[in-house]
Formats: sequence, C-alpha cells, structure tokens
Amino acid sequence: MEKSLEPGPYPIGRSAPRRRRFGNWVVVAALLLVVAIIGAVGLAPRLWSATFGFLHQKTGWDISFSFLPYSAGDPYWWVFLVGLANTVGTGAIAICSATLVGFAVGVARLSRNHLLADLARIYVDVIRNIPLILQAAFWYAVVLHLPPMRAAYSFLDAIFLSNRGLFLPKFDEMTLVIACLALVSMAAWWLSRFMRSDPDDPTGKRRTLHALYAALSAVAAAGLAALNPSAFNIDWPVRAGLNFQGGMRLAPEFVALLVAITIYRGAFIAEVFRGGLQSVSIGQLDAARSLGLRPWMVLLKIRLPLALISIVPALSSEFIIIMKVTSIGIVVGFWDLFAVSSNSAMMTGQTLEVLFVMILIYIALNYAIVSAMNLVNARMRLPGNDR
Amino acid sequence: MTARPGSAGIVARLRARYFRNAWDSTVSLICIAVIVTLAYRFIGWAILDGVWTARSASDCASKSAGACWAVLPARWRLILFGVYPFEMQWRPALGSLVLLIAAVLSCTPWFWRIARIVVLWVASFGAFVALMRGGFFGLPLISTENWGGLALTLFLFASLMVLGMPLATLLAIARQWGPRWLRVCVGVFIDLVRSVPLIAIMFGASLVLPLILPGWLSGDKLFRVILGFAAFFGAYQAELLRGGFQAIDKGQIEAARALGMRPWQFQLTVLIPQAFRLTMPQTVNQAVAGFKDTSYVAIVGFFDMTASASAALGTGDWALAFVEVYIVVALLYFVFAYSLSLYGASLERRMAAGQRR
Repeated sequence: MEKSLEPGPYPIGRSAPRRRRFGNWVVVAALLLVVAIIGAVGLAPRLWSATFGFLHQKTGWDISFSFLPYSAGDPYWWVFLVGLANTVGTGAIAICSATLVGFAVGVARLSRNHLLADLARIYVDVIRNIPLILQAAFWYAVVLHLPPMRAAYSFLDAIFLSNRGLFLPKFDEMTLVIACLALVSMAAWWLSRFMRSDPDDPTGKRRTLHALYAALSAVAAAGLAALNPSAFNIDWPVRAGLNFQGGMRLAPEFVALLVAITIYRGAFIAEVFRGGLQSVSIGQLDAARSLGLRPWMVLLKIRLPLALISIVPALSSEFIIIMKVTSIGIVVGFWDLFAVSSNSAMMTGQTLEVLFVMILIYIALNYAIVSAMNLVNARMRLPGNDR
Repeated sequence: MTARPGSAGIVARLRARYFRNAWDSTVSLICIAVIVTLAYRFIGWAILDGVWTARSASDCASKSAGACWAVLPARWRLILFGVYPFEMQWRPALGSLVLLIAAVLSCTPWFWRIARIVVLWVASFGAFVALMRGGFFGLPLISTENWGGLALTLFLFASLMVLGMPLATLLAIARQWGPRWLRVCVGVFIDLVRSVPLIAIMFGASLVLPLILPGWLSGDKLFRVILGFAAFFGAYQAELLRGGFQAIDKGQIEAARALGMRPWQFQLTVLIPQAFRLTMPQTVNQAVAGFKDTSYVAIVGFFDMTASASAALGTGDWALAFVEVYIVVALLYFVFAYSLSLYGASLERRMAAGQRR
C-alpha cells in the first residue's frame, strides 16, 4: 500500500533532477523557517499563550489505561506523551504479535499439506474482508462477557483472564534490563556466526566486533543478575477476595484492541510472507534440498533470508499501518494518541492547535519507522544487487 | 476380492496429499480434529440449538443454550437502514439496489470507457441521493443525520469512488506532470495525508473545515467527513496511479506528441486508461480497503452498518446476542468485500492472459 520508502521516479520526458528527492523537505524547511522567524520577532510569548498555552494547563480528566503514569492533575503536554506512549507501546506489541501470526500463517499457506494450506487461506480470506473496527468491537464485547473476576479463567494459576482484563505476572524492571542484555548478547553472537562468509567483511573485523559485543553484554547481564538477586522475584497475581493482588493488569480495552489488530493485520502480513517466500526461485530451494538440508533448514536458512529482501519493504509498510491503526482504539475506549487528542480538542476548544500537535507527532512517528526500516532494508540487500 | 481401481486411486491421492509421512499425517490429523470440533460446536450452537423466535436475549437463553437468531427479525431493519424513518425505508432499499446495479454494471468491460463510467456513476449516484434525501414530488426531506445502516455504508462507498477516483487521477497527474511547485505541493499533501490515520483525517475534516471554509461551502457534517475520506483514499490511489503512469512506455508519449496531440488529449485517451488498466488489481484492493474503511464513520458519530450493529445490541434486550449480530454484520461486509476481491483476482487473471504470448 505505502510505497513512500523509495524516492519517486521521475516525470516522463525529463531527466531526473538530482534535487527532486529533497523537494518536499525544501517546503518543510521553508515552513519551519517561517515558524522560527515568527518566533524570533517576539510575537512568540503572546502568540504562545493564545494558541499553545493550553499545553501547560491541567487536563482535569482521567484516562483508563496507560503505559506512563498519569493523573487528572497532569498538564496537556504530558497527556499527549501518555497518548503517544500508548500508541507506540500498543503498536510495538501488535507489530510483534501480528508478525508472528503472519509468519506462521504465511508459511502454513505454502505448506505441501493441502488441509493446512486451505485452513490458512480461509483464515486470510475471511479476516481480510471484515472491517477492523467491527472485529475490535466484537473482541471487546467478548472480553466484557468473560466471567467475572471470582470465576476468572486461570492458566497454571499464573495468568488470569476475566471481564476486568488480563492479569499477568509482573517482572522487576531489572529483570527486563537483564533479559534485554541477554537478547542483545544472543543476537550479536548470532550475527558474528552469520557473518562468517560475509563478502563485505573479508578481514573478519566486524565479526570479531560482534563477538565482543556478545561477550560484553553477556558479562553485563551476568553481573547485573549477580548484583541484584531480587531481580528474579516475580510478582504473581494472587486471588484476594473478589479481586487480584499483585501482578500486572492489562485492561479489557487494551486486550481487545491487541487481539483485533493481531488477527486482522496478521492476515495481511501472512500475504506479505507468502508473496516473499514464493518469490524465491525453485532452483535455489531444489539446490538446498539436494544438499541434504532438512525442510525446516531450507525454510529458515535459505528461503526466509532470500525472501526477506522483498519482504522487508512490504513489512515496513505494514508496521506503519499498524502504528496508525491503533487509532481505532477509541472504538473500545482505549486512550491512544488520537483518542487523547480528540478529547483534548473537545475540552480546550483549541481544535486547530491540538490537531497540529497530533499531526506533527504522527509524522514524526512515521518518519522514525520509515528511517529504521530503510536502515534494515539497506542491510538486507544482496551484495552486487544494488540498484 | 481386489479393490476397485477407483477406490485405490482415492486412497493413493489422499495419502499423497495428506499422509505422506509421519509429520504430514500428524498435521493433517490435528487439522481434521480442529475442523471437526469447530464444525460440530458451530452446527450445534447455530442450527441445532438456534432459537428463532423470542422476545429478548434472556428469553432465548431460557429456551436453549444455542444461538439467539431471534435478534434478527427484531433488528434487521436497524442493521440495514439505521434510524431512517420506518415507513420510508423503501427509499434506501431502492437506492441501495440502484447503487448495487451500478456497481455490477461497472464491472462489465462495456462500461470501461471514461464517458460511460462517468455517466453511469453520476446517474446512479444522483438517483440514490435524490431518493434518500427527498424533498420533491411529495417525498419528505430526510436529512443525512437520519441515514444509516447498510444504505449509508453503500452510499459512503459510492461517494468514495465518485469523489476519490477523479481526485486520485488529478493528484497523480499533478504529481507526475505538473509544474515543479505543484508537484512539490501535491507531494507534501500526499505524504501528509498518508502519515496520519484515517480517523484523524475524518475528525479533522468534520471539525476544521467549518472553521476555514465559508458556511455555504462546508456543507453538513457527513459531506465534510466524506471529503476527508476521499482525500485519504485519493492520496493512496494517486500513488498507485503514479506507479501506473511510470510503467507506461515513454515512446507512447513521444508518439502521441508526434501525432500532434495536446497534453490533455493524450493524458485522457492514452495515459489514464492505461494507468488504470496497469494498476487494476491494486485499485480493486484499494477499493476493498475503502469499503471496509467506511466503518470509520461510526467513530465520528454516523450510523453506518458497524454503528447499527452496536446499536442493535445497545438496548439491553439483546446485548447478550452480540455474537449473533456481529456474525451477521461481518457476513454482510464479507459478501461485498469478498466479491470485490474475487472480481479483482479474475481481472488479474484476465490481464495476465492478455500479456501471455
């Protein structure tokens, strides 16, 4: 859908002007310059209090679920950040879960087992043709009609699901830091092994560097773990009367939104993976098989890496869509950036200013994802295939 | 007695397809188990235990544990026509029929001429609006706040096509062949629109347009929301069309120039039809996405099919029958969106056949 990743080709009949790809930024820069000049002239303080002054006012309204701490006494600039954190947090989690679902379903669609392939196809066809908003409303209704807390579904007495949301064990912040370090260490180790035959790295310098990263982060993780033995205390949710104590509660709105986006966008991502995997030439797969690789090795070591070249650009569009689509959270009462902005506009009456702030944040968000994915994309290209 | 060759063939085929080896057999058995369980539970719930006549959802529950289909006879008018005055509902029914016929007709190749498709859509769209709005020949005036249900969803989709497609074409042409300042402006507009969620654009259009446009231009809220929606659709579709324009051989433009055609002439007769033809599969996907996105108007306070579904449950009597209502409404959306997708796939095959030599 979104193809903004590459600079547009050039009008027919004209040679490609070098500055073309900067054209849009020239306008943006000019706009910023105008804003800066207005500010410098000294109008700024009066103009600010008449327009964006509301950012310093207290909101006076509450929101039901947020990743960042928030109370009704906080100012408007903070509530925008809280909304942004909700959007980015939900978006990031949904990106991970939808990609996992999409990968599994995409691979299932290409299975040689017709039954599995057909099931995956039906899933994709059905889910893709029903509006996300309807699906979100449905899942919200499902969560709200779950049993009450005293009769909550329990999984191994560690995770509880009720009409008040999902209760999970809560990990210490230090645990998360250690887990991240361990993950980084594993990734670096994997990279250093992966680079054994990297033509860009003939001296093995980068490989050594990655091995060093792996060792460093492993040592850091081990050190932190040794210094903070309490980091491994997990706060389990425990039944206490009609409620739960401890643990971490995910609100029904969040659960419904996450499930809906995962299932819906997962179906689209499945098609991305299917298309990418199908684009790998059969000859290469035959070659891999004739070398005696097991089917899963052919998939993970040959097919997927080759497919990623065409998957990554499409996947990055999907990620942007997921970030934006969290805005339907307002249907189920989830306070994302849009919900926060629309309520701010209603409460302050400063519609234009609020919309301006919201659009700026969304553009920055988009730009960040595009830049990050462009980096990944640049790394993914096969050497020698540069256009 | 030996097995007949036919049955041996079936067994062999089943083996080759589903039970090639232990892993394959396990996967097949799990799939079969899932399918059988789901089918068994669904048939039991929906058909065997389904209740068709009841006064409320709790009345249903007292009769059986199955599906409460009784909600449909009680609420189908709301789902199809929203809060349109009850005794006038033949008007949205007739109007929707006109739109559907126009949609089916525009899928036939005879209508794939700019003049024909424009006349078809202007006529059917005008007929729909006249029927729905009324205010002439003794038809009472029904304002857009009272439009709703499937009829409103279809209307939104039709206006999206009627406004969005020309807008997309204009944007694509401007971005491709306009003077430099126009190309930059259109580029900024498209990138801006595409980086903001649709709901924010609808919300912005409904609130901001009255602040910056004179009263007679800003129209009613539905009109403004549709404008925002069309801008959103147009930005995405324009990028598709631009891709199509770029795929057209430059030699054609030179040939057209050599024939002495003016820019608008060859744009209209050579480039636009080919760009649409080249991007037809993606355009159909875009249209499917647009159809599903009509549900966004529920958020800015209109009574489309999604909002009607929630309203059908909202009154308390039927709140417990939410699964049934959502299934039916999802099925309605699915029928429209899936037939569009199927049509797109058939177009793709048809064009692939044209390319094969």
